[in-house]
Amino acid sequence: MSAAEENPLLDEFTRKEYEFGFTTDIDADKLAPGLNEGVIRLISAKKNEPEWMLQWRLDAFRVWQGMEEPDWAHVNYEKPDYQAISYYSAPKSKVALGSLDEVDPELRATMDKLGISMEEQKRLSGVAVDFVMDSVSVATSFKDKLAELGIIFCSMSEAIQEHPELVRQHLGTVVPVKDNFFSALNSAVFTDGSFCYIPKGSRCPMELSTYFRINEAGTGQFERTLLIAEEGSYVSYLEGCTAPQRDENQLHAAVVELIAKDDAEIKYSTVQNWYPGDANGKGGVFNFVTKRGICETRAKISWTQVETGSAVTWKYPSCILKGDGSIGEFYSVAVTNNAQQADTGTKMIHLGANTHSTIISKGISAGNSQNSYRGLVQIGPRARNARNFSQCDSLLMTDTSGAHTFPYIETKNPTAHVEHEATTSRIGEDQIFYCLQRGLTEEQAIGLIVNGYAKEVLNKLPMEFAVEARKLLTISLEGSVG
Amino acid sequence: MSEVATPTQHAALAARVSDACRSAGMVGAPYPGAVAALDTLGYPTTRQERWRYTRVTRLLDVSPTAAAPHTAPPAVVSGLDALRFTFVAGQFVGGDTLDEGANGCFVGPVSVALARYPERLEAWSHSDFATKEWFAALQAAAPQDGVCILVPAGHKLERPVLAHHHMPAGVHVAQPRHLIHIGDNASAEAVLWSDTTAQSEGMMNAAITAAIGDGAHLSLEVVQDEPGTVHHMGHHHFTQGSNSKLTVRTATACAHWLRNDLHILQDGTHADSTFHGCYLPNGQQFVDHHTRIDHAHPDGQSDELYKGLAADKSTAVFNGKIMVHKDAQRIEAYQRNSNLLLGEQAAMYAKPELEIYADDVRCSHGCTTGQFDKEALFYLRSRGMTETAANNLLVQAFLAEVLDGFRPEIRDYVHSVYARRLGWS
Amino acid sequence: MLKIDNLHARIGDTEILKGLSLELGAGEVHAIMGPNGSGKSTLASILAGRDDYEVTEGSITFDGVDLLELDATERAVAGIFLAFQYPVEIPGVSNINFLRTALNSIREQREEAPLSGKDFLAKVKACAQLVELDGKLRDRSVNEGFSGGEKKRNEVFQMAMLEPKLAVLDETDSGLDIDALRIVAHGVNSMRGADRSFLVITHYQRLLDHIVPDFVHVLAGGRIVHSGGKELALELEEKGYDWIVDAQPTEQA
Repeated sequence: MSAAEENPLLDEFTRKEYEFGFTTDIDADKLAPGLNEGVIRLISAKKNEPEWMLQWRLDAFRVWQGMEEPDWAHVNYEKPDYQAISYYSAPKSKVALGSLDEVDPELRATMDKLGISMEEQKRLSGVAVDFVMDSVSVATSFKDKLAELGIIFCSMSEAIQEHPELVRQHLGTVVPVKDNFFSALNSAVFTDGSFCYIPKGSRCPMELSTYFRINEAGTGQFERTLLIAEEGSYVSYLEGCTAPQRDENQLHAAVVELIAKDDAEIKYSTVQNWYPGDANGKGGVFNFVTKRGICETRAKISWTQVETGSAVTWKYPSCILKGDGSIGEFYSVAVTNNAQQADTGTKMIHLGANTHSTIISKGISAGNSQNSYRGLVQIGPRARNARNFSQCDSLLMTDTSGAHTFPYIETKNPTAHVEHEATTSRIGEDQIFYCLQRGLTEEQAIGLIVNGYAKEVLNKLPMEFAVEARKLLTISLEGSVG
Repeated sequence: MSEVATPTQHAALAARVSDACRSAGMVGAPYPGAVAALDTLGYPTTRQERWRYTRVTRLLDVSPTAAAPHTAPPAVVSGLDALRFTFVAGQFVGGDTLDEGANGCFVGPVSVALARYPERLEAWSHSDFATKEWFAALQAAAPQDGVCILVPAGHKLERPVLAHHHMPAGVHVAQPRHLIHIGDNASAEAVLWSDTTAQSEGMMNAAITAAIGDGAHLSLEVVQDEPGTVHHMGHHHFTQGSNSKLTVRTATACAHWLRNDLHILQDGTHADSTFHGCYLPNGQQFVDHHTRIDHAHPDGQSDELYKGLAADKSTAVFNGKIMVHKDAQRIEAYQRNSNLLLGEQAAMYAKPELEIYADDVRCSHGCTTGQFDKEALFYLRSRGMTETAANNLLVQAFLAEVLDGFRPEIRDYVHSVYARRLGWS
Repeated sequence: MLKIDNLHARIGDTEILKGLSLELGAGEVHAIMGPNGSGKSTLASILAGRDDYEVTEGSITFDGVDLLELDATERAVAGIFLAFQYPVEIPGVSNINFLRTALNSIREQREEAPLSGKDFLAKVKACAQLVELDGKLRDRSVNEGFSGGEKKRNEVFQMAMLEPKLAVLDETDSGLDIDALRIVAHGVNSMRGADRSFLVITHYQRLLDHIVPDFVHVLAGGRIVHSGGKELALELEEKGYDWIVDAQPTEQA
């Protein structure tokens, strides 16, 4: 990381409030709150879905009705009333878009505020962006260029229409409907998300990116992402999230499925900045997300996440290392401040021989927040010579916050090597003083030290995201030292 | 992998065990609340986090036969000079009772202590775990005899105590309870030894409750050497005062099915706790060490080290929790768990946990699972050692960190049990 | 430039400085020597504004400003630099980025324009040469994995970059071999000038062979018990501290 990259973030100290807390005044087509078969039929009909898709949703709904919301995570929250949520909200002006120029100007302005001006993106870095607002994908850029390479990058609704065989073949194969309460709910009501298909042997020439935003009050966001990397292909995918400031809790229950076939590589990066609620814990997004990938022979999936937002986070991006020689990685920075609670980590399921996984997790707890790492490393009986290395560090900024580590290490093969290390410490007063003596302000000092602490993870992010992530880390910790 | 015992099944188990203990001879009354807790708590299932890897449904089948006349087993570590006490299936058989009167040291069976000095036991010997965990409640509902060590403030118990509990052949249940109270600035050392014959079956549901006063020292060595098919539940609870020092070393030399719950509460500042353990299941054995330390006050230290090998088709579980409470500042807590897997079908489940609510702390844990260093093995063999000798040496080296803390007599004994069981001696 | 008057300070219940007075003029180099535990490092920490210490009595003025009213950052901005005895490691933060952030932070607080990337790099190059700092060390994390000598050179490098008015060198010679000592001393000497003062804290006379002071003070029992010219250092080397300390019947070393 050069000085030029690191520096701009240090100029960002003036913004105290949640920066992305604006709402966009767009006429929305929003369903009345409540969930029943009728609602699911309506969602499916609005999206003009084939019959198999509707049946799949209805089956999922029935499964969900028989399930209970999990309570094993180290978080406390009032469980949402699932009948008080609206399960469909789409910007009304949504039409089949021929080009970006047809996007509603208000929406365009929203994207600009989010710092993802598509025009800009188009000109500069060649990042293809899919923008999902509330539950519906509103625009996808660079589609044509990608199509020339046989790469499909579009909204999930579009994929169901245009590539039903691909969707039907893969949907729910990595995260089964009944995997957990939230995945079942998502399977029943998801309205959109991104779909991506990389054909055999092809290397996606640009970063693919999706920005998610919850806009309407009283809505939940249930997006579904499916990413298929065929044999020997490569893709780097980025995901960013924001939501407006609202006093109520909003629910985000997404499912992401990654499929890396033989020798394929998927790099999946997330910068999660859903509204965290105010300093007293009022409002904020419940982020209950199931993300999982499956690796075939010699395939590799790498998850990188920077989690600064959400009132409550429940999220474990995982890898099923099915194929021999496959690799799973998880790099995470999770910051909690004020009344935020996060229970996040990963699962590395080693099934194949010579499978390797690496887990680097950096937790930072400030304010009155609770920050937990929860991770499972499982070495199956057939996973000969499997290797795992885990490093989970926690940094405490105040004496009213908590930092917790709950690793589960299950080894059923005698040739495995599993190594787990965890440390918990306070931000170093000596380090802060050293910085102050050199003329830095306290906030600059903390920003610098925290970014240094998280560097190992931040360095895994693609450049465009790394800059944003560094800013976010600093902003989320303003005035946080006890 | 979860299953739930129907209420009638575990109620029936509770009734069988309590009846057997009563007819063989209970010591004192059931602890308040324990009997009621048996109803309200429900039987543990693998759906509960604390029992995730520990199936206890098999214990439901335990059905003790009538107690046979008890004869004293052969002495253990006979070379060790100690105040010796022998118990068989929860009954006191004989020992070197030491009674210095109401203001002096007392070391003897709990039954005698209760008769002579009930007031000296009252305040501290009731553990609230008896109403929080089903098996602890079962234990407390029908407690049997164990050793009682009472050291008044300022005294030093000159000789170590060796309490030997033996499970004879046949299907038996035993629920011994050991009680230890070390007064302020007092000190004591003890060995709690439990063993069985190869023909022993049934259940051993044992409790240790120890209170260590301000500035007091307790050093405890726990040896579990149970070659039969007894199911062993251990509830080991320690409460420490300010500036006290506790050392607990646990060697599970042999166990068919064993679960130890070790819990240390630092109930004062500047407390120092060391707890080490080792285990080596083989065959189809199951050994589960659950530990928890509560740093409830500032300036405490703890050092935890558990090492084990799992051979053949055995399963080992280690779950260690370090809990640092709010305002318990300047805690230094270290935990390490190392495991070697020797069998193709052996399994190791490790869960080292940190739960921290204070910021000025230095806490860390490390956990590894692997196998013998092949290079080291090769090196030893190239120097002329047989594979057996080399393996033996490597096991010894691996466990030395834990075993070297024991008295040499115990260290050598435990190692010889390990070597014999792995077929290396 | 710096005036310390009757300074009393304590940490917890332990009083460490017990009426220390000292005056430094612009461009002067003063050495403070004294036995272990005499309060030398405490003085350095208090000058830099470490808040573990409580000043119970006395005053410090720097260029006419009450230094005790300023926090650590403000003192750095005012031109006070402390070369730490034990420079702290900051993992993940590159030395160069750290310095640029510090430099521009100071400039901003002085309402000066930030240094351009080009000027900054030129300055880095010049200052690094001064203490023969390896280019690799500039890009590594602050002090992380540096040897003792590298850490001290890095401190002097930072001093050169930040151009303080008053540099306090806290046992900068400790842990240095003779070559490193010469390099560090050369760096310091080349920064000497009419408007820059130095307070060199050391236990040994050895450093003062290389950085020749204008005045030497002996700190014992929390106050200055003896002052003299540079020759005093030699005398101390020869006779030890006892003859001075013993001559102060009211004080305990």
